[in-house]
Amino acid sequence: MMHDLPKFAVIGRVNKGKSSIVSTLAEDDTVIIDRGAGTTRACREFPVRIDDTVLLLLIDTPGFQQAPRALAWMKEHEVSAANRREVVADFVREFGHTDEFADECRLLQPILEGAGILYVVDGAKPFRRNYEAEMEILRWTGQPRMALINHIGEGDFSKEWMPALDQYFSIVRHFDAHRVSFADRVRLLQSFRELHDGWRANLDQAIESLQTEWQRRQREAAHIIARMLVDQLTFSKELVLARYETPDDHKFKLEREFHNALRERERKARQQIEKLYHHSKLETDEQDLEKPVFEQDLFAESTWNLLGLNPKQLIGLGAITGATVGGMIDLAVGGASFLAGTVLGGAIGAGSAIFYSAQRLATIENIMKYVQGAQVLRIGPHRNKNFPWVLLDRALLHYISIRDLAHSRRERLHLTENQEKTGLVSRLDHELRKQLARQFEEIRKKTGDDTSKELTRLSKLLLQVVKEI
Amino acid sequence: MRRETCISHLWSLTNFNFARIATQQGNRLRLAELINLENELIACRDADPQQLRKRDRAIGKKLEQAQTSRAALFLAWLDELGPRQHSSLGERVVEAYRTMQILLLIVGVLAGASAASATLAFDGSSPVNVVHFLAVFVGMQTLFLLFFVISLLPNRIAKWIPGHGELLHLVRSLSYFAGKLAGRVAEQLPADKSSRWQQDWHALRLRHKLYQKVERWLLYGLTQRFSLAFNTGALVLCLYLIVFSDLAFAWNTTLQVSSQAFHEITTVIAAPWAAFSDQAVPSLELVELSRYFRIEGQYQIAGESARSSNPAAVGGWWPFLVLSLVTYGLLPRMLTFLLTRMKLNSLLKNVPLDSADCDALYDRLTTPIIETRAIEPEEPAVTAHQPYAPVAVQAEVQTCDVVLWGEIALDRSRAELAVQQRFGWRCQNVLPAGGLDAQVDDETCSKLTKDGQEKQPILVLVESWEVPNKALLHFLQQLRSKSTPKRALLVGLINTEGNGLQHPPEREDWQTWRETLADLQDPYLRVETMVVTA
Ligand SMILES: Nc1nc2c(ncn2[C@@H]2O[C@H](COP(=O)(O)OP(=O)(O)OP(=O)(O)O)[C@@H](O)[C@H]2O)c(=O)[nH]1
Ligand SMILES: [Mg+2]
Repeated sequence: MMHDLPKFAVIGRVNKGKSSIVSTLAEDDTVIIDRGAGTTRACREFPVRIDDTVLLLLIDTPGFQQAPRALAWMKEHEVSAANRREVVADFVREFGHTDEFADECRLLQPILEGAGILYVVDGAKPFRRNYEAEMEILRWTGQPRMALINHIGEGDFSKEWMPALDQYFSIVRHFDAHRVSFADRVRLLQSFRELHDGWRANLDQAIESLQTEWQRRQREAAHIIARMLVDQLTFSKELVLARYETPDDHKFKLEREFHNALRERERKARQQIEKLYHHSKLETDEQDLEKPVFEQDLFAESTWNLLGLNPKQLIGLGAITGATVGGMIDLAVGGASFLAGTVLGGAIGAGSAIFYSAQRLATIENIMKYVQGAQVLRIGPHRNKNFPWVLLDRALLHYISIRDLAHSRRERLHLTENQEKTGLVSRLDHELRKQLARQFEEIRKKTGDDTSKELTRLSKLLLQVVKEI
Repeated sequence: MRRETCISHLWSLTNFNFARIATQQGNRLRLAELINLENELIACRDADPQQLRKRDRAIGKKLEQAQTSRAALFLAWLDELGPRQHSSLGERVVEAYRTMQILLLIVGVLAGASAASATLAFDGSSPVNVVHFLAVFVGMQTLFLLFFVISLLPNRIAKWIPGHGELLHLVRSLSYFAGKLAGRVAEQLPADKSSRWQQDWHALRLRHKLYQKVERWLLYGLTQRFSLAFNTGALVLCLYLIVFSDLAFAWNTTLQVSSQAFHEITTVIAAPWAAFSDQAVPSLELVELSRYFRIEGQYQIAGESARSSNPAAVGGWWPFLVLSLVTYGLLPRMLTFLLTRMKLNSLLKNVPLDSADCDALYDRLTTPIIETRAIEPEEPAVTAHQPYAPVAVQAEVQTCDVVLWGEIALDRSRAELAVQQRFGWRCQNVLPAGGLDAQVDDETCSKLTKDGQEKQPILVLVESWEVPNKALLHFLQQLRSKSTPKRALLVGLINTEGNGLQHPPEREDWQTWRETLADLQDPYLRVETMVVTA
């Protein structure tokens, strides 16, 4: 059966993004990618295995370094057009143990062993005739082959490339290693089917499993986010004061610990999402200001100004009243005017920024427990009506940024301007939002008790959201 | 061993084994399993997701064909996980529950018997007061039954019943105190048992959401069992006393109740069986005959004289009393007991295994694991380079040779202009290399090296965004080998991107070029940046 295993060697000139494409296709962010030439020095196999059965094999290869000279040798040794594949094999035999064409020999080896060819070019750079040397050698091997036009950088020369590629390859596709979606990956696998009939069954199975896996991840992501939300909305912290202590002794520390714990919970959930989508090596940006809003601090003013729902939407959900907004604004401006805030609150939106910023941090409650004669300080759960929405917004933005992040990219993906400015929850369908709001209320009522029923319901709602965005 | 068989024997005798019935049907969860399942699911929350998936998918594959329902699948999963320390909670709970059942059974029978003997106490000096018997076995039992029925009503209906709230409150406080009491009891146990018990109790309180509903009915099951035992005990004792002693029945109450009224009450009580048996419905005559008064510390039965002439009239209460006990005590309790059992069975059969945790488990068991990453880690690339420290080109140079490498987008005249602008040199030969035909490279190489122009630098113009590949390195090495070691070789980087001829190459590209070429360790090889203006 071994000979029926579909194998695909990713071939191309050095530094055209072969490893990037493999990394993206195999969701492997450990593949070494570098702007230098000859980063990949040996072939590497990426078996696609489903429950430990290998369905197909992806092979990353070193790049062509001196195809014209190799072709010259082959032409010299060509006897007839019929035995060209033999000539290529001879070439590998001749130079396999020397340094002269080390890379060419290594990359040709898997092809001679039956791998299909995925030939990668950089469509952002102009076509040059010397590429025909590589293409010719690949043609000589007689293996099924398709071309992938990658785009490293801005330019677009695909029109120049097309006529040449068409001559040598049965299928030509665009495949941008840095920007492909899941659908693009599936489409690519589907086009592999055309290369060779014997490979179809395995490819179909692989495609189906990938799709199942993708849906499973959506479910799990929804579950992770739901758990995080339930956790955050019910979290509180208590501290029993000794007799001689006053609340002020601990207020600051308790508040800081409380908010740090919330931040930590969010970070944990994000890590789980990243792991779920096989991103383990993301670099973090150092400067806070350049980060997209969902990467900034959970309790930063900008976060609350941009994410979550606006007062009008909150009122629409019955979560707050206009007067609350007014009261909040009064609070924010220091209660300077009894009425001004309420009037402003009526003219919702006008003061929305102030509204959000007020009370984005939870504050301490003192609870007297006379029974034991002790005084207890409590902080949380966080009461701000917008809190769950800000959390959800951040979680969703982070989620899509990870979901859509190609594994060839090692920096965190920054979202488009548009997504950053408004967040996602404010654009959700109203009915869905209403159901979410109801769940949030239910969860908040449940402080301390078991919340598994709410968790289950919220997971299901979030799955809907996750599928939509 | 002996103890166990003994207990299980008791079991089958008392027909408590709803659990066994359940497994026979294959896809119903037993209580113990339900508790264990919940416990396992909670343990899963803290485990590493990758490992969980591996473990559960391996199990899931084994079970793939055999199982039809979720419950069956989860059951098999529990089986596959095998006996584990934290999964024996279920068994322990069930064991405790069964012990409770036996205890309640014994206590119930004893309580029923003693209630009966108390109400039927007859020492010959004063007769048995029928009113007591009716109060305990008809009145109170009916009241308790009513409570039970009310507690079954859904909240939205029950809340309209007066006193329901208070009742609920009472029940809650009672269960609170019961919990406290249980805690106290646990403290009295030996230390290891006590802590185990407390752990279990805590685990149960925290984690009973899957079987929350079941739990309520388990509780009902216990109370109904107790009531059933109570009535059985009472009935048995009643019959015993009736058979083995001569009971004289009479009735009396402090309230002013006429014989007529009391007769009406008994007729109402006897209504359910009036149609079948005249004997068991007290006649007005019997009621009048058996009324008694307390006068000056002595009991006087109304028809004392008649009694001696007609003892059956006074003893004639017993069929009525026995049937009251059966009709208002035993039968309803049998019904409620059956009801709770049926309900429990159906609950266990239809446990909603659709919580988020269950869904996740189902996913882990049924969706294949797809892996696409490389198996072996990649060897890190060599990043160390030779230092780049070339020797400066001599100042008196006037002319140079130029190689247009790799089909660079630059014609001869613009190349000459660029060289002029950058170095002030004139170009003598301008030749191509690095194209499709490798032979051209050799030709260019020999042309540029054949007349021994040692003083004249060779400038290879390349596109800066390309990387220095081995073909170029090979070409440069060839140039070097065919000329003297000190002939200046220059690589000029031109950014031909877009209309970028006017732009210098990008920093990173320049860096890459210098690093790569430095590795040739040729001190007379330099990398220069070129800008071409129109
Ligand atoms: N912007 C952008 N850059 C890309 C893309 N694909 C590859 N690159 C960059 O191109 C460079 C080379 O990528 P690699 O994947 O290492 O190329 P390679 O063909 O495997 O290179 P060698 O192993 O050296 O032959 C890296 O700096 C990548 O970041 C892309 O789709 N978009
Ligand atoms: Mg590579």
